[in-house]
Amino acid sequence: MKRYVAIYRQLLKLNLASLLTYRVNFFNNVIASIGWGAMSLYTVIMLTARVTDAYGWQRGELLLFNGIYGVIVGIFHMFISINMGRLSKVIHMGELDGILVKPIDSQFAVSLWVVNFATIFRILMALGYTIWIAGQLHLVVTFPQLLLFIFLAFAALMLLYSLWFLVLTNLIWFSNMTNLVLFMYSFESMARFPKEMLQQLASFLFVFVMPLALVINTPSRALLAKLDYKDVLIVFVLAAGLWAASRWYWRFALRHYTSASS
Amino acid sequence: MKRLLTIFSLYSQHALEYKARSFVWFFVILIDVVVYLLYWRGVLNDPSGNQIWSFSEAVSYYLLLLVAGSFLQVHIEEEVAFEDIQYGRLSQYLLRPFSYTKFKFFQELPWRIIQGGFGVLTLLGISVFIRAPELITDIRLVPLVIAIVISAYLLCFFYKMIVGLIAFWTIDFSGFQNIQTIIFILFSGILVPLHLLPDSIRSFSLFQPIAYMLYYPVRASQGALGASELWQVLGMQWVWLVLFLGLYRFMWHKGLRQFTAVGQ
Repeated sequence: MKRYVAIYRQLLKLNLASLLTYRVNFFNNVIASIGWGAMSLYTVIMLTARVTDAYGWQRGELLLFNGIYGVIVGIFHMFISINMGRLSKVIHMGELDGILVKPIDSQFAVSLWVVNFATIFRILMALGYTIWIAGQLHLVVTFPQLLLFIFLAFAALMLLYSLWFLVLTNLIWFSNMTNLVLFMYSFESMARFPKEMLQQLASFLFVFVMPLALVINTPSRALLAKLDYKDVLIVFVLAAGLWAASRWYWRFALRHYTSASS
Repeated sequence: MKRLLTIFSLYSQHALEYKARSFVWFFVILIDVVVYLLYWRGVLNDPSGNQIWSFSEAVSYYLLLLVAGSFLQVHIEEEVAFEDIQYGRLSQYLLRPFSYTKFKFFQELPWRIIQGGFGVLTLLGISVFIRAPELITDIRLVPLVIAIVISAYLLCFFYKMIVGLIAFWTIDFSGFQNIQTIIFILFSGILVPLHLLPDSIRSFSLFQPIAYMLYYPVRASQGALGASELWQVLGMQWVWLVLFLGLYRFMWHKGLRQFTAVGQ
């Protein structure tokens, strides 16, 4: 464990060095990151411009919901989703061999190698917006509520990561489907909306979407003191279960990986 | 022309071989459509929501958007930027006796047709089993609508090629790609129909070129535009197309001067 912490610290330093070397790239990524965050909020503002509520959520609560989405998904994009995009290119271009021969866990190497520091600005923007909206709603958050929110947010990140990794592991067999990454971005964006809306889907579809429905819903409800403790249990069980499944599936996929003489 | 048709034929085989990739692209737009329809379904149950538009209008708009997004939304910029320019494969195209632009056009077209096919099949299925969308009823305007759809495709193609050519001047294209994706989603009518936007941004949104790639073809297909409006849309599409063509040629010539490929 200590070894991986030391490796990750070194990776952070290398990513920071890369960021300072290619400053224009960093600037572009900051604009893009802030743009995605702003677009997410703009979506809800536009969709709720002429209505007062939707699916039992008041307009203010929906805006808070999206602020929390911006924070949690922002953290995910900073540490994980950039690596998922890299994974699709690495497999497609036959560069996975270079990662597999390294004396570290391959799932760690493909999942945590790159850090997108530009996303910090999106996270800060979403955090500021969330705190402002919470103030507008006169929301009083106790310390236990905040603690529960942080635990649930961490579980939500694990759940999101596991879902992404389970889907993208299929690239080992279908290396040409690099657009699966875009599909996952689109799929993940469904988490911006309340669970009650997604429950409108037919049951056989909702089964696939349900983990996503809980990712932002459950931490948001913790802050709004509207928590259903059944959902808390489901989030933690799903996070642990899907992480274990993603790990097993990756190892299973690597047994079928054929190199392209890279 | 025969050479270009051969290219089209070869890439049709390629696209048919990788049908799953087309299906994933189709799924990307399908998710957006389903999510927004679910949202409007809940909102328009509220009596105050009906003043915006009706649910049947929403279904019609988003179903046609599904088809339009599948067929008209070109995805060539990633290949141009990453594989051709940044990985240096452009040099192979430069040595061939074909125009790079025409090559890319006929390379992309089969993918659009296949994904458009998925969209049409989904539309037919939903029309038969659930609800048919509102379509244009005046037969005399149909050729004009077809012309608008074709012009929208050309406009989107050159827009995405211009975006891809930005890679001549950047090391990391992904930042620009994200920015253009955001701009496209905001101004194409995928999020909210542009005529429902607040007054402060509606005029600009309806004028800018991205609206002519998806939003106006959908509205034209719905029969929401009269004959004079359709001619205006077609005219504006060609104005933007001429501007894009000029910009594309300028960027192509400038970019080629500094392009280098190693070991290709």
